[in-house]
Amino acid sequence: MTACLDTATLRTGLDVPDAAIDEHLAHCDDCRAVARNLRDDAVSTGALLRPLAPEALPDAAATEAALHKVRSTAPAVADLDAVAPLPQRRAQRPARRWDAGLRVAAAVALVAVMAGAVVATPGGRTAAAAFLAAFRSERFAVVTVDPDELTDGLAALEQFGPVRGIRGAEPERVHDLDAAAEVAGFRPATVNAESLPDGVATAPTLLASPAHEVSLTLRRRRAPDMPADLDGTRLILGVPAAVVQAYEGQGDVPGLVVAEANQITAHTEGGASLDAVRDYLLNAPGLPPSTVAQLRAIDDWRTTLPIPVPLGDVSWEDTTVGSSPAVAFGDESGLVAAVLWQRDGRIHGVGGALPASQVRILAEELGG
Amino acid sequence: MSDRFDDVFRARYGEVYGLAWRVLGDRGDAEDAAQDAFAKLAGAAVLDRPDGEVAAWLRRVTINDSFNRVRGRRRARERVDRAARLEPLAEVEGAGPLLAVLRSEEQAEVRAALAGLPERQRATLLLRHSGYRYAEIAQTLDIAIGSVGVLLARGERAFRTAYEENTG
Repeated sequence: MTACLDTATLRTGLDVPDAAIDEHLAHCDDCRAVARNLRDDAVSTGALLRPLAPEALPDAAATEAALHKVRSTAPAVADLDAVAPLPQRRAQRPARRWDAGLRVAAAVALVAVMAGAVVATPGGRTAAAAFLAAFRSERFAVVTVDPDELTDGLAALEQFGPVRGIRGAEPERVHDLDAAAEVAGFRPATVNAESLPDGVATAPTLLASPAHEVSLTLRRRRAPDMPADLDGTRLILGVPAAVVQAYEGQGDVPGLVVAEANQITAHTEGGASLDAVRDYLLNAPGLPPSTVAQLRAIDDWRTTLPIPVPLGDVSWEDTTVGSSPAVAFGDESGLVAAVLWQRDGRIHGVGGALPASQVRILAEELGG
Repeated sequence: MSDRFDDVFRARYGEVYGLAWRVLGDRGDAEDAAQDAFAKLAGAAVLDRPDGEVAAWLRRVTINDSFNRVRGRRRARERVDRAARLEPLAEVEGAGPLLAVLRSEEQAEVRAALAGLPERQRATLLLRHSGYRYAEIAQTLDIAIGSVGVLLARGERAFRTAYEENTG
Protein backbone atom coordinates (compact mmCIF):
# COMPACT_ATOMS: atom_id res chain seq x y z
CA MET A 1 0.00 0.00 0.00
CA THR A 2 1.25 3.52 -0.75
CA ALA A 3 2.10 6.02 2.00
CA CYS A 4 -0.79 7.86 3.63
CA LEU A 5 -2.11 10.90 1.77
CA ASP A 6 -1.87 14.44 3.11
CA THR A 7 -4.95 16.41 4.06
CA ALA A 8 -4.74 18.74 1.08
CA THR A 9 -4.69 15.84 -1.35
CA LEU A 10 -7.64 14.19 0.34
CA ARG A 11 -9.62 17.44 0.36
CA THR A 12 -8.85 18.13 -3.28
CA GLY A 13 -9.97 14.61 -4.07
CA LEU A 14 -13.46 15.47 -2.88
CA ASP A 15 -13.78 17.95 -5.75
CA VAL A 16 -11.37 16.69 -8.38
CA PRO A 17 -11.72 13.00 -9.24
CA ASP A 18 -8.52 11.04 -8.76
CA ALA A 19 -8.39 7.28 -9.22
CA ALA A 20 -5.13 7.04 -7.25
CA ILE A 21 -6.81 8.53 -4.19
CA ASP A 22 -9.74 6.14 -4.50
CA GLU A 23 -7.39 3.23 -4.80
CA HIS A 24 -5.52 4.29 -1.66
CA LEU A 25 -8.70 4.90 0.31
CA ALA A 26 -9.96 1.46 -0.54
CA HIS A 27 -7.11 -0.02 1.49
CA CYS A 28 -6.35 2.60 4.17
CA ASP A 29 -8.62 2.92 7.18
CA ASP A 30 -6.75 5.98 8.54
CA CYS A 31 -7.04 8.02 5.36
CA ARG A 32 -10.64 6.94 4.91
CA ALA A 33 -11.46 8.32 8.35
CA VAL A 34 -9.71 11.60 7.57
CA ALA A 35 -11.50 11.84 4.23
CA ARG A 36 -14.84 11.23 5.94
CA ASN A 37 -14.23 14.13 8.34
CA LEU A 38 -13.14 16.38 5.50
CA ARG A 39 -16.28 15.53 3.57
CA ASP A 40 -18.45 16.29 6.62
CA ASP A 41 -16.78 19.68 7.01
CA ALA A 42 -17.12 20.44 3.31
CA VAL A 43 -20.77 19.43 3.15
CA SER A 44 -21.65 21.42 6.29
CA THR A 45 -19.79 24.47 5.08
CA GLY A 46 -21.39 24.30 1.66
CA ALA A 47 -24.85 23.95 3.13
CA LEU A 48 -24.33 27.11 5.17
CA LEU A 49 -22.55 29.22 2.56
CA ARG A 50 -24.65 28.46 -0.50
CA PRO A 51 -27.76 30.26 0.80
CA LEU A 52 -25.69 33.46 0.94
CA ALA A 53 -26.05 33.78 -2.83
CA PRO A 54 -28.10 36.81 -3.89
CA GLU A 55 -31.70 36.30 -4.92
CA ALA A 56 -30.96 38.05 -8.20
CA LEU A 57 -28.08 39.68 -10.01
CA PRO A 58 -28.27 43.19 -11.45
CA ASP A 59 -30.16 43.24 -14.73
CA ALA A 60 -28.97 44.99 -17.86
CA ALA A 61 -30.52 48.31 -16.92
CA ALA A 62 -29.06 48.25 -13.41
CA THR A 63 -25.65 47.34 -14.82
CA GLU A 64 -25.78 50.27 -17.25
CA ALA A 65 -26.80 52.60 -14.45
CA ALA A 66 -23.92 51.36 -12.29
CA LEU A 67 -21.50 51.77 -15.20
CA HIS A 68 -22.66 55.33 -15.71
CA LYS A 69 -22.21 56.04 -12.01
CA VAL A 70 -18.69 54.61 -11.91
CA ARG A 71 -17.66 56.44 -15.06
CA SER A 72 -18.90 59.71 -13.66
CA THR A 73 -16.95 59.28 -10.43
CA ALA A 74 -13.76 57.66 -11.73
CA PRO A 75 -11.84 60.16 -13.87
CA ALA A 76 -9.23 57.55 -14.64
CA VAL A 77 -11.70 55.81 -16.92
CA ALA A 78 -11.86 58.82 -19.18
CA ASP A 79 -8.09 59.24 -18.98
CA LEU A 80 -7.63 55.86 -20.56
CA ASP A 81 -8.94 57.24 -23.82
CA ALA A 82 -6.16 59.78 -24.01
CA VAL A 83 -3.27 57.36 -23.93
CA ALA A 84 -2.08 55.05 -26.63
CA PRO A 85 -3.39 51.52 -26.28
CA LEU A 86 -1.01 49.11 -24.62
CA PRO A 87 0.15 46.02 -26.49
CA GLN A 88 -2.45 43.28 -26.59
CA ARG A 89 -0.68 40.66 -24.54
CA ARG A 90 -3.56 38.29 -25.10
CA ALA A 91 -2.68 38.05 -28.76
CA GLN A 92 0.97 37.40 -27.93
CA ARG A 93 0.28 34.60 -25.52
CA PRO A 94 1.89 31.42 -26.83
CA ALA A 95 -0.30 28.36 -27.02
CA ARG A 96 0.94 25.87 -24.49
CA ARG A 97 0.63 22.17 -25.06
CA TRP A 98 -1.22 21.48 -21.86
CA ASP A 99 -3.50 24.37 -22.52
CA ALA A 100 -4.48 23.02 -25.89
CA GLY A 101 -4.78 19.55 -24.45
CA LEU A 102 -7.09 20.68 -21.74
CA ARG A 103 -9.19 22.44 -24.30
CA VAL A 104 -9.59 19.29 -26.33
CA ALA A 105 -10.44 17.32 -23.22
CA ALA A 106 -12.82 20.09 -22.31
CA ALA A 107 -14.44 19.84 -25.71
CA VAL A 108 -15.20 16.19 -25.08
CA ALA A 109 -16.48 16.66 -21.59
CA LEU A 110 -18.20 19.89 -22.40
CA VAL A 111 -20.13 18.93 -25.44
CA ALA A 112 -20.63 15.22 -25.40
CA VAL A 113 -21.58 14.69 -21.85
CA MET A 114 -21.00 17.47 -19.41
CA ALA A 115 -23.10 20.17 -20.99
CA GLY A 116 -25.27 20.04 -17.94
CA ALA A 117 -22.35 20.39 -15.61
CA VAL A 118 -21.02 23.31 -17.57
CA VAL A 119 -24.36 25.01 -17.52
CA ALA A 120 -24.47 24.28 -13.82
CA THR A 121 -21.10 25.87 -13.19
CA PRO A 122 -21.02 29.58 -12.52
CA GLY A 123 -18.54 31.00 -14.94
CA GLY A 124 -19.05 28.30 -17.49
CA ARG A 125 -18.26 30.34 -20.54
CA THR A 126 -20.21 28.25 -22.96
CA ALA A 127 -23.48 28.20 -21.11
CA ALA A 128 -24.98 30.63 -23.55
CA ALA A 129 -23.94 28.45 -26.44
CA ALA A 130 -25.38 25.41 -24.71
CA PHE A 131 -28.67 27.18 -24.30
CA LEU A 132 -28.67 27.97 -27.95
CA ALA A 133 -28.86 24.26 -28.52
CA ALA A 134 -32.62 24.48 -28.67
CA PHE A 135 -33.27 21.14 -30.24
CA ARG A 136 -33.12 17.44 -29.83
CA SER A 137 -29.51 16.61 -30.54
CA GLU A 138 -28.96 14.17 -33.38
CA ARG A 139 -26.00 15.55 -35.30
CA PHE A 140 -22.91 17.65 -34.58
CA ALA A 141 -21.76 20.92 -36.05
CA VAL A 142 -18.47 22.39 -34.90
CA VAL A 143 -18.56 26.10 -34.10
CA THR A 144 -15.36 27.92 -33.32
CA VAL A 145 -15.42 30.38 -30.45
CA ASP A 146 -12.92 32.75 -28.94
CA PRO A 147 -13.23 32.13 -25.20
CA ASP A 148 -11.82 35.57 -24.49
CA GLU A 149 -14.72 37.16 -26.34
CA LEU A 150 -17.47 35.25 -24.60
CA THR A 151 -19.01 36.80 -21.58
CA ASP A 152 -19.61 34.80 -18.47
CA GLY A 153 -22.25 32.21 -19.27
CA LEU A 154 -24.38 32.57 -16.20
CA ALA A 155 -24.24 36.33 -16.27
CA ALA A 156 -25.14 36.28 -19.94
CA LEU A 157 -28.27 34.28 -19.22
CA GLU A 158 -29.28 36.21 -16.13
CA GLN A 159 -29.45 39.37 -18.18
CA PHE A 160 -32.50 37.92 -19.94
CA GLY A 161 -34.35 36.69 -16.87
CA PRO A 162 -34.16 34.37 -13.88
CA VAL A 163 -32.44 31.04 -14.41
CA ARG A 164 -33.61 28.07 -12.35
CA GLY A 165 -32.07 24.66 -11.88
CA ILE A 166 -28.49 25.78 -12.43
CA ARG A 167 -27.35 23.90 -9.36
CA GLY A 168 -29.64 21.00 -10.03
CA ALA A 169 -27.37 18.06 -10.51
CA GLU A 170 -23.76 18.05 -9.47
CA PRO A 171 -21.98 15.00 -10.88
CA GLU A 172 -21.76 12.34 -8.22
CA ARG A 173 -18.76 10.09 -7.71
CA VAL A 174 -19.81 6.46 -7.75
CA HIS A 175 -17.85 3.28 -7.17
CA ASP A 176 -18.98 1.00 -9.97
CA LEU A 177 -20.98 0.89 -13.19
CA ASP A 178 -24.05 -0.48 -11.41
CA ALA A 179 -24.14 2.58 -9.19
CA ALA A 180 -23.56 4.80 -12.23
CA ALA A 181 -26.48 3.12 -14.00
CA GLU A 182 -28.68 3.72 -10.98
CA VAL A 183 -27.93 7.46 -11.05
CA ALA A 184 -27.99 7.97 -14.82
CA GLY A 185 -30.78 5.58 -15.74
CA PHE A 186 -28.71 3.74 -18.33
CA ARG A 187 -25.81 1.37 -18.16
CA PRO A 188 -22.64 2.90 -19.60
CA ALA A 189 -20.34 1.04 -21.95
CA THR A 190 -17.76 -1.19 -20.32
CA VAL A 191 -14.15 -0.46 -21.22
CA ASN A 192 -12.22 -3.67 -21.77
CA ALA A 193 -9.21 -3.66 -19.44
CA GLU A 194 -7.09 -5.22 -22.18
CA SER A 195 -7.86 -2.26 -24.43
CA LEU A 196 -6.56 0.36 -22.00
CA PRO A 197 -3.57 2.25 -23.40
CA ASP A 198 -0.23 2.08 -21.65
CA GLY A 199 0.37 4.75 -19.04
CA VAL A 200 -3.21 5.19 -17.84
CA ALA A 201 -4.63 4.01 -14.54
CA THR A 202 -6.20 0.58 -14.55
CA ALA A 203 -9.31 1.73 -12.72
CA PRO A 204 -11.38 4.78 -13.65
CA THR A 205 -12.91 7.46 -11.50
CA LEU A 206 -16.63 7.26 -12.16
CA LEU A 207 -18.88 10.31 -12.24
CA ALA A 208 -22.60 10.11 -12.85
CA SER A 209 -25.31 12.74 -12.95
CA PRO A 210 -29.07 12.34 -13.33
CA ALA A 211 -31.10 14.22 -15.87
CA HIS A 212 -32.52 17.54 -14.81
CA GLU A 213 -33.98 20.68 -16.25
CA VAL A 214 -32.59 24.19 -16.41
CA SER A 215 -35.03 26.94 -17.26
CA LEU A 216 -34.66 30.53 -18.31
CA THR A 217 -37.75 32.73 -17.99
CA LEU A 218 -37.41 35.66 -20.35
CA ARG A 219 -38.24 38.95 -18.66
CA ARG A 220 -38.47 42.15 -20.63
CA ARG A 221 -37.79 44.26 -17.57
CA ARG A 222 -34.29 42.80 -17.50
CA ALA A 223 -33.65 43.25 -21.20
CA PRO A 224 -35.63 46.25 -22.44
CA ASP A 225 -34.91 45.48 -26.08
CA MET A 226 -36.69 42.14 -25.81
CA PRO A 227 -39.75 41.80 -28.10
CA ALA A 228 -42.95 41.95 -26.07
CA ASP A 229 -44.16 38.55 -27.23
CA LEU A 230 -41.11 36.87 -25.66
CA ASP A 231 -41.78 38.29 -22.21
CA GLY A 232 -42.68 35.46 -19.85
CA THR A 233 -41.65 32.65 -22.17
CA ARG A 234 -39.78 29.83 -20.44
CA LEU A 235 -36.96 28.15 -22.31
CA ILE A 236 -36.46 24.74 -20.78
CA LEU A 237 -33.29 22.80 -21.42
CA GLY A 238 -33.35 19.09 -20.70
CA VAL A 239 -29.87 18.42 -19.40
CA PRO A 240 -29.29 14.73 -19.96
CA ALA A 241 -28.15 12.07 -17.55
CA ALA A 242 -24.47 11.37 -18.05
CA VAL A 243 -21.68 9.05 -16.97
CA VAL A 244 -17.95 9.81 -17.23
CA GLN A 245 -15.19 7.24 -16.76
CA ALA A 246 -11.92 9.12 -16.25
CA TYR A 247 -8.59 7.29 -16.21
CA GLU A 248 -5.63 9.09 -14.68
CA GLY A 249 -2.71 9.63 -17.04
CA GLN A 250 0.85 10.87 -16.73
CA GLY A 251 0.29 14.62 -16.87
CA ASP A 252 -2.33 17.27 -16.28
CA VAL A 253 -4.57 16.00 -19.06
CA PRO A 254 -6.60 12.87 -18.22
CA GLY A 255 -5.04 9.78 -19.75
CA LEU A 256 -8.39 8.59 -21.03
CA VAL A 257 -11.96 9.86 -20.70
CA VAL A 258 -14.94 7.79 -21.79
CA ALA A 259 -18.21 9.67 -21.61
CA GLU A 260 -21.81 8.90 -22.39
CA ALA A 261 -25.01 10.94 -22.16
CA ASN A 262 -28.57 10.95 -23.34
CA GLN A 263 -29.66 13.56 -25.81
CA ILE A 264 -30.04 17.21 -24.92
CA THR A 265 -33.53 18.55 -25.50
CA ALA A 266 -35.18 21.93 -25.28
CA HIS A 267 -38.62 23.41 -25.57
CA THR A 268 -40.49 26.55 -24.66
CA GLU A 269 -43.57 27.14 -22.54
CA GLY A 270 -45.93 30.03 -22.13
CA GLY A 271 -45.55 32.12 -25.20
CA ALA A 272 -43.02 32.37 -27.97
CA SER A 273 -41.70 29.55 -30.14
CA LEU A 274 -38.23 28.08 -30.06
CA ASP A 275 -37.54 29.80 -33.36
CA ALA A 276 -38.32 33.19 -31.89
CA VAL A 277 -36.29 32.57 -28.74
CA ARG A 278 -33.34 31.32 -30.76
CA ASP A 279 -33.39 34.33 -33.04
CA TYR A 280 -33.52 36.66 -30.10
CA LEU A 281 -30.69 34.98 -28.19
CA LEU A 282 -28.51 34.86 -31.28
CA ASN A 283 -28.81 38.61 -31.55
CA ALA A 284 -28.05 39.21 -27.88
CA PRO A 285 -24.58 40.27 -26.72
CA GLY A 286 -22.16 37.66 -25.46
CA LEU A 287 -21.33 35.67 -28.55
CA PRO A 288 -18.82 36.93 -31.12
CA PRO A 289 -20.38 37.82 -34.49
CA SER A 290 -18.46 35.02 -36.20
CA THR A 291 -19.97 32.47 -33.84
CA VAL A 292 -23.45 33.85 -34.44
CA ALA A 293 -22.86 33.58 -38.18
CA GLN A 294 -21.81 29.95 -37.84
CA LEU A 295 -24.79 29.10 -35.67
CA ARG A 296 -27.12 30.72 -38.17
CA ALA A 297 -25.53 28.76 -40.96
CA ILE A 298 -26.50 25.42 -39.45
CA ASP A 299 -29.12 23.98 -41.78
CA ASP A 300 -31.33 22.29 -39.24
CA TRP A 301 -30.63 23.68 -35.82
CA ARG A 302 -33.46 21.65 -34.30
CA THR A 303 -31.46 18.47 -34.60
CA THR A 304 -27.88 19.66 -34.80
CA LEU A 305 -25.79 20.13 -31.66
CA PRO A 306 -23.36 23.05 -32.00
CA ILE A 307 -20.01 22.02 -30.49
CA PRO A 308 -18.11 25.08 -29.30
CA VAL A 309 -14.41 24.58 -29.99
CA PRO A 310 -11.76 27.12 -28.93
CA LEU A 311 -10.40 29.03 -31.86
CA GLY A 312 -6.93 28.14 -33.03
CA ASP A 313 -5.78 25.28 -30.83
CA VAL A 314 -8.06 22.50 -31.99
CA SER A 315 -8.55 20.85 -35.36
CA TRP A 316 -11.40 18.53 -36.31
CA GLU A 317 -12.84 16.45 -39.12
CA ASP A 318 -16.09 14.65 -39.82
CA THR A 319 -15.82 10.89 -39.63
CA THR A 320 -17.79 7.84 -38.61
CA VAL A 321 -17.66 5.40 -35.70
CA GLY A 322 -19.15 2.15 -36.94
CA SER A 323 -21.92 3.54 -39.11
CA SER A 324 -22.64 6.50 -36.86
CA PRO A 325 -21.73 10.10 -37.74
CA ALA A 326 -18.84 11.38 -35.65
CA VAL A 327 -16.38 14.23 -35.25
CA ALA A 328 -12.69 13.64 -34.49
CA PHE A 329 -10.75 16.35 -32.66
CA GLY A 330 -7.03 16.88 -32.17
CA ASP A 331 -4.77 19.54 -30.74
CA GLU A 332 -1.93 21.12 -32.66
CA SER A 333 0.69 18.98 -30.93
CA GLY A 334 -0.95 15.74 -32.02
CA LEU A 335 -0.66 14.42 -28.48
CA VAL A 336 -4.27 14.87 -27.44
CA ALA A 337 -7.29 13.63 -29.33
CA ALA A 338 -11.00 12.95 -28.96
CA VAL A 339 -13.93 11.50 -30.88
CA LEU A 340 -17.63 12.24 -30.42
CA TRP A 341 -20.40 10.22 -31.99
CA GLN A 342 -24.12 9.50 -31.66
CA ARG A 343 -25.65 6.08 -31.52
CA ASP A 344 -28.99 4.72 -30.35
CA GLY A 345 -30.11 8.15 -29.20
CA ARG A 346 -27.09 8.68 -27.01
CA ILE A 347 -24.00 10.89 -27.26
CA HIS A 348 -20.65 9.18 -26.78
CA GLY A 349 -17.17 10.60 -26.34
CA VAL A 350 -13.67 9.18 -26.01
CA GLY A 351 -10.59 11.31 -25.59
CA GLY A 352 -7.43 12.02 -23.68
CA ALA A 353 -3.67 12.36 -23.94
CA LEU A 354 -3.47 9.75 -26.67
CA PRO A 355 -2.61 9.53 -30.36
CA ALA A 356 -5.62 10.02 -32.63
CA SER A 357 -5.28 6.51 -34.03
CA GLN A 358 -5.54 4.97 -30.57
CA VAL A 359 -8.60 7.06 -29.73
CA ARG A 360 -10.27 5.89 -32.94
CA ILE A 361 -9.58 2.24 -32.08
CA LEU A 362 -11.11 2.69 -28.63
CA ALA A 363 -14.12 4.47 -30.11
CA GLU A 364 -14.68 1.65 -32.59
CA GLU A 365 -14.45 -0.91 -29.79
CA LEU A 366 -16.99 0.96 -27.71
CA GLY A 367 -19.36 2.11 -30.39
CA GLY A 368 -18.64 0.38 -33.65
CA MET B 1 -14.70 56.36 -23.96
CA SER B 2 -12.79 53.26 -22.92
CA ASP B 3 -14.45 50.34 -24.67
CA ARG B 4 -12.25 47.93 -22.80
CA PHE B 5 -13.42 49.19 -19.41
CA ASP B 6 -17.06 49.21 -20.47
CA ASP B 7 -16.83 45.68 -21.83
CA VAL B 8 -15.23 44.38 -18.65
CA PHE B 9 -17.80 46.19 -16.55
CA ARG B 10 -20.76 44.76 -18.44
CA ALA B 11 -19.29 41.27 -18.43
CA ARG B 12 -18.23 41.18 -14.80
CA TYR B 13 -20.40 43.53 -12.79
CA GLY B 14 -22.96 40.87 -11.94
CA GLU B 15 -20.30 38.41 -10.81
CA VAL B 16 -18.53 41.00 -8.67
CA TYR B 17 -21.81 42.18 -7.18
CA GLY B 18 -22.71 38.59 -6.37
CA LEU B 19 -19.48 38.02 -4.48
CA ALA B 20 -19.89 41.22 -2.51
CA TRP B 21 -23.47 40.27 -1.68
CA ARG B 22 -22.38 36.93 -0.28
CA VAL B 23 -20.09 38.72 2.17
CA LEU B 24 -22.28 41.71 2.98
CA GLY B 25 -25.85 40.51 2.54
CA ASP B 26 -27.04 43.97 1.70
CA ARG B 27 -27.85 45.31 -1.75
CA GLY B 28 -26.62 48.84 -1.18
CA ASP B 29 -23.36 47.71 0.38
CA ALA B 30 -22.83 45.11 -2.33
CA GLU B 31 -23.35 47.74 -5.02
CA ASP B 32 -20.90 50.07 -3.29
CA ALA B 33 -18.25 47.38 -2.98
CA ALA B 34 -18.65 46.24 -6.58
CA GLN B 35 -18.57 49.77 -7.95
CA ASP B 36 -15.55 50.69 -5.84
CA ALA B 37 -13.70 47.70 -7.25
CA PHE B 38 -14.41 48.86 -10.79
CA ALA B 39 -13.43 52.42 -9.92
CA LYS B 40 -10.04 51.08 -8.82
CA LEU B 41 -9.80 49.02 -11.98
CA ALA B 42 -10.27 52.12 -14.10
CA GLY B 43 -6.85 53.43 -13.17
CA ALA B 44 -5.06 50.11 -12.89
CA ALA B 45 -2.59 48.66 -15.36
CA VAL B 46 -4.22 45.26 -14.97
CA LEU B 47 -7.04 46.46 -17.22
CA ASP B 48 -4.80 45.71 -20.20
CA ARG B 49 -4.20 42.14 -19.10
CA PRO B 50 -6.19 39.16 -20.42
CA ASP B 51 -9.77 38.78 -19.23
CA GLY B 52 -8.99 35.98 -16.79
CA GLU B 53 -6.42 38.08 -14.97
CA VAL B 54 -8.72 41.09 -14.84
CA ALA B 55 -11.51 38.93 -13.43
CA ALA B 56 -9.17 37.48 -10.79
CA TRP B 57 -8.03 40.97 -9.83
CA LEU B 58 -11.62 42.17 -9.50
CA ARG B 59 -12.55 39.20 -7.33
CA ARG B 60 -9.55 39.75 -5.07
CA VAL B 61 -10.21 43.46 -4.60
CA THR B 62 -13.93 42.91 -4.05
CA ILE B 63 -13.49 40.19 -1.45
CA ASN B 64 -10.91 42.18 0.51
CA ASP B 65 -12.98 45.33 0.39
CA SER B 66 -16.16 43.51 1.35
CA PHE B 67 -14.63 41.92 4.41
CA ASN B 68 -13.17 45.29 5.37
CA ARG B 69 -16.69 46.70 5.21
CA VAL B 70 -17.95 43.93 7.46
CA ARG B 71 -15.47 45.08 10.05
CA GLY B 72 -16.67 48.64 9.86
CA ARG B 73 -18.50 49.18 13.12
CA ARG B 74 -20.71 51.95 11.91
CA ARG B 75 -22.01 50.05 8.91
CA ALA B 76 -22.53 46.98 11.03
CA ARG B 77 -24.56 49.05 13.45
CA GLU B 78 -26.65 50.36 10.58
CA ARG B 79 -27.28 46.87 9.30
CA VAL B 80 -28.44 45.74 12.72
CA ASP B 81 -30.75 48.72 12.88
CA ARG B 82 -32.17 47.99 9.46
CA ALA B 83 -32.72 44.37 10.39
CA ALA B 84 -34.55 45.50 13.49
CA ARG B 85 -36.87 47.53 11.30
CA LEU B 86 -37.45 44.46 9.10
CA GLU B 87 -36.44 46.48 6.08
CA PRO B 88 -34.99 43.50 4.14
CA LEU B 89 -38.23 41.54 4.38
CA ALA B 90 -39.54 42.93 1.15
CA GLU B 91 -36.71 41.17 -0.66
CA VAL B 92 -37.60 37.71 0.61
CA GLU B 93 -40.24 36.64 -1.85
CA GLY B 94 -42.81 34.16 -0.69
CA ALA B 95 -41.58 34.01 2.89
CA GLY B 96 -43.44 35.10 5.96
CA PRO B 97 -41.94 37.72 8.23
CA LEU B 98 -40.89 35.21 10.88
CA LEU B 99 -39.18 32.97 8.38
CA ALA B 100 -37.44 35.98 6.88
CA VAL B 101 -36.15 37.07 10.27
CA LEU B 102 -34.87 33.60 11.07
CA ARG B 103 -33.18 33.35 7.71
CA SER B 104 -31.65 36.77 8.06
CA GLU B 105 -30.32 35.95 11.53
CA GLU B 106 -28.90 32.62 10.43
CA GLN B 107 -27.14 34.20 7.48
CA ALA B 108 -25.73 36.90 9.73
CA GLU B 109 -24.24 34.16 11.93
CA VAL B 110 -22.77 32.47 8.87
CA ARG B 111 -21.25 35.72 7.64
CA ALA B 112 -19.83 36.49 11.06
CA ALA B 113 -18.19 33.08 11.32
CA LEU B 114 -16.76 33.46 7.83
CA ALA B 115 -15.44 36.96 8.48
CA GLY B 116 -13.59 35.70 11.56
CA LEU B 117 -11.40 33.29 9.59
CA PRO B 118 -7.88 34.09 8.38
CA GLU B 119 -7.96 36.12 5.19
CA ARG B 120 -6.99 33.43 2.70
CA GLN B 121 -9.13 30.74 4.28
CA ARG B 122 -12.29 32.80 4.17
CA ALA B 123 -11.66 33.93 0.60
CA THR B 124 -11.02 30.35 -0.48
CA LEU B 125 -14.22 29.13 1.16
CA LEU B 126 -16.23 31.97 -0.31
CA LEU B 127 -14.96 31.33 -3.81
CA ARG B 128 -15.17 27.55 -3.74
CA HIS B 129 -18.68 27.49 -2.35
CA SER B 130 -19.69 30.07 -4.93
CA GLY B 131 -18.73 27.56 -7.60
CA TYR B 132 -15.27 28.72 -8.67
CA ARG B 133 -12.74 26.15 -9.83
CA TYR B 134 -9.43 25.51 -8.10
CA ALA B 135 -7.50 27.23 -10.88
CA GLU B 136 -9.68 30.33 -10.63
CA ILE B 137 -9.29 30.42 -6.86
CA ALA B 138 -5.52 30.09 -7.13
CA GLN B 139 -5.39 32.88 -9.70
CA THR B 140 -7.62 35.13 -7.62
CA LEU B 141 -5.56 34.71 -4.46
CA ASP B 142 -2.22 34.51 -6.28
CA ILE B 143 -1.36 31.19 -4.68
CA ALA B 144 -0.26 27.82 -6.01
CA ILE B 145 -3.14 25.62 -7.09
CA GLY B 146 -1.88 22.96 -4.71
CA SER B 147 -2.51 25.31 -1.80
CA VAL B 148 -6.24 25.52 -2.47
CA GLY B 149 -6.89 22.10 -0.93
CA VAL B 150 -4.92 23.03 2.19
CA LEU B 151 -6.85 26.26 2.65
CA LEU B 152 -10.17 24.53 2.04
CA ALA B 153 -9.48 21.77 4.56
CA ARG B 154 -8.31 24.17 7.26
CA GLY B 155 -10.92 26.79 6.48
CA GLU B 156 -13.88 24.43 6.47
CA ARG B 157 -12.84 22.94 9.82
CA ALA B 158 -12.31 26.39 11.33
CA PHE B 159 -15.53 27.74 9.87
CA ARG B 160 -17.59 24.84 11.15
CA THR B 161 -16.07 25.17 14.61
CA ALA B 162 -16.62 28.92 14.73
CA TYR B 163 -20.21 28.65 13.51
CA GLU B 164 -21.08 25.94 15.99
CA GLU B 165 -19.51 27.91 18.85
CA ASN B 166 -21.34 31.08 17.85
CA THR B 167 -24.70 29.40 17.56
CA GLY B 168 -24.29 27.23 20.63
